Amino acid sequence: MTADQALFRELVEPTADGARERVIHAVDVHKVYRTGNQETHALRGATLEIFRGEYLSIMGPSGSGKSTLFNMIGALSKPSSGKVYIDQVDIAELDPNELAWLRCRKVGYVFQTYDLIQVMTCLENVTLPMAFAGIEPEPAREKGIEILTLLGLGERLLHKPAELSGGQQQRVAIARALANSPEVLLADEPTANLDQRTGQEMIDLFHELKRRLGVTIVAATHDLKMLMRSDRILWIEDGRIVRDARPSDVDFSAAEFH
Amino acid sequence: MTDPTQSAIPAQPKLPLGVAVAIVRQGIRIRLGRSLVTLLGVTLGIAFLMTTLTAQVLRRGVADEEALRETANRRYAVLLSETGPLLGKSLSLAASGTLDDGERRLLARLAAEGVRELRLRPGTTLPEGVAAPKTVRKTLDDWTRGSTAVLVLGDAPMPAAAEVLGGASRQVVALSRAVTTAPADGLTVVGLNRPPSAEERATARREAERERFRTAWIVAVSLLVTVIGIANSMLMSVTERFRDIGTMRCLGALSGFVRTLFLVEAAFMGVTGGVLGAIGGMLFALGTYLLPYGGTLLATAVADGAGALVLMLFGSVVAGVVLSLLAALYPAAAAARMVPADALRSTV
Repeated sequence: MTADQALFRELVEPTADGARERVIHAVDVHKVYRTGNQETHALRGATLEIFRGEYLSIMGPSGSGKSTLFNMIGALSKPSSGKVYIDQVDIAELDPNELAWLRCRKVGYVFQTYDLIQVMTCLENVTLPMAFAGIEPEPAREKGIEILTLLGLGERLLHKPAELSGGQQQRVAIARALANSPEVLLADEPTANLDQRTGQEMIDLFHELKRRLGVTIVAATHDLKMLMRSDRILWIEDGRIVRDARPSDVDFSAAEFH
Repeated sequence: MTDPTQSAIPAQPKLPLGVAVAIVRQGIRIRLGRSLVTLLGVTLGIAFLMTTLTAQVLRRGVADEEALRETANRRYAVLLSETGPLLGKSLSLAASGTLDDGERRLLARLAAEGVRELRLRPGTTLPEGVAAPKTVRKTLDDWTRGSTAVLVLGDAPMPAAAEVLGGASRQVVALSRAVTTAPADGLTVVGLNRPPSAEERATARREAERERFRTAWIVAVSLLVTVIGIANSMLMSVTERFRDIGTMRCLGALSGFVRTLFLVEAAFMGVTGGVLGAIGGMLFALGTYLLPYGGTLLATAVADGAGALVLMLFGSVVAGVVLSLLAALYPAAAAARMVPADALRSTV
């Protein structure tokens, strides 16, 4: 066993029970932000499990700690206390470089406003994370073309984001998130800026990706259509996970959805 | 993917410098206007440095010529202080032996200042190719008559008082060499070669010292302004790219990569601005020396100082790169310090 492997064994959590494999596991996570003398408790003991191949929706009003939770799951920041395992690695133990490595390969982000780099073409946007992962330009290019073609953007490889519709930009953002074959795809309100039809297409696309690539998808959303078609829904409120249910057990006619 | 080794984190993820260069090239192309302003700042700063350095080399190359001009000017000034303006006046000239360069220049200067004619003492010949006012041959009796002053050039002995005075009651005799004969009544003898006094020399030295200090000061300030200009422009660039940087950090870019982005941009600006500035500054300095000294002399000066000039060209480019990098240190650090979550916090 090499030193790296030995170190790694210390970081890995004990193997999960059961057939389902945990991609993300958060245990009693607290996060406190300090600005001057003021302390803000964004998370107060959130615990959750996300399993491989799952399509999970997270609901929560603004200020509920949803974005902080997303930051944790995405290896963007560390918890003040508690454990967050991404693909069995405890992020609290990692230094900034290792966190960057994790972000690069294990997590794919789709931001609400897409956040494509405007000066780059679609293809360059998609190959950028591959470059960060140390993949040579030629194979990165090939893979970028493959992913974009898969997402129906084969004709738009060399267009700049500004030349595309919102739905197309969203697809480029998804392609970029998938570039390094991440364990989990994090999407923040992926349908919020899309019209009804494009939103529906996006939901179909997520299911397609889940089915064909086995991608784990975690989406923050209030979109009823999206919630109804997810495998599981988590509610976050006041820094805690307050409910965990399958769509079949949820009454979607309740007031909170309208 | 339950095999834990697959998740092992490498100690030091590698840094794609090629990607950084590509991104910087793209950024410069897209934000061409701002890039050009930055570039102009570097170019001007380095051009000024190079102009000053080149001028030093050229000044050394034309030092002999400059000393001659200085001598001629001083002699002319001494003569003028005795005679008043010489425009349209006649002078008498006794010369023998060889004229030194300073004396030749004095004659040329007299011609340039509009002296009407030179009345030559018998036995005086001017060497071929000397620029001088019109010459008139005269006899011993009347060679000084009606002239404003008598010039005694070369190693000619000073003529006898009677011969100089002729019919006149008072005459100025200007000698370019050491006075060997005691002055007679009615003659004002002026030594054109009067060396600068200790006081004048001290003043000149002080002035030169002050000039050197002033130049060094201006160069230092201009370079400082350049650095501040680049730093300012780079900070603007960081703000402009706040979002892109955040996105890249979320995609797994290391803070070192972000720092590299800005340092690469600065290095590029430094090289380009340095080369442009160094060449431009040297040409400007050559231009300012071409006018008063002429091509031949300048070519010699350049040939003599070629080694130093090449060294200075390289030095200026290096200075451009170093100053740019120096200016980019703080903006690059500011960009690298940015926490990736900040970018998300504004969106989620």
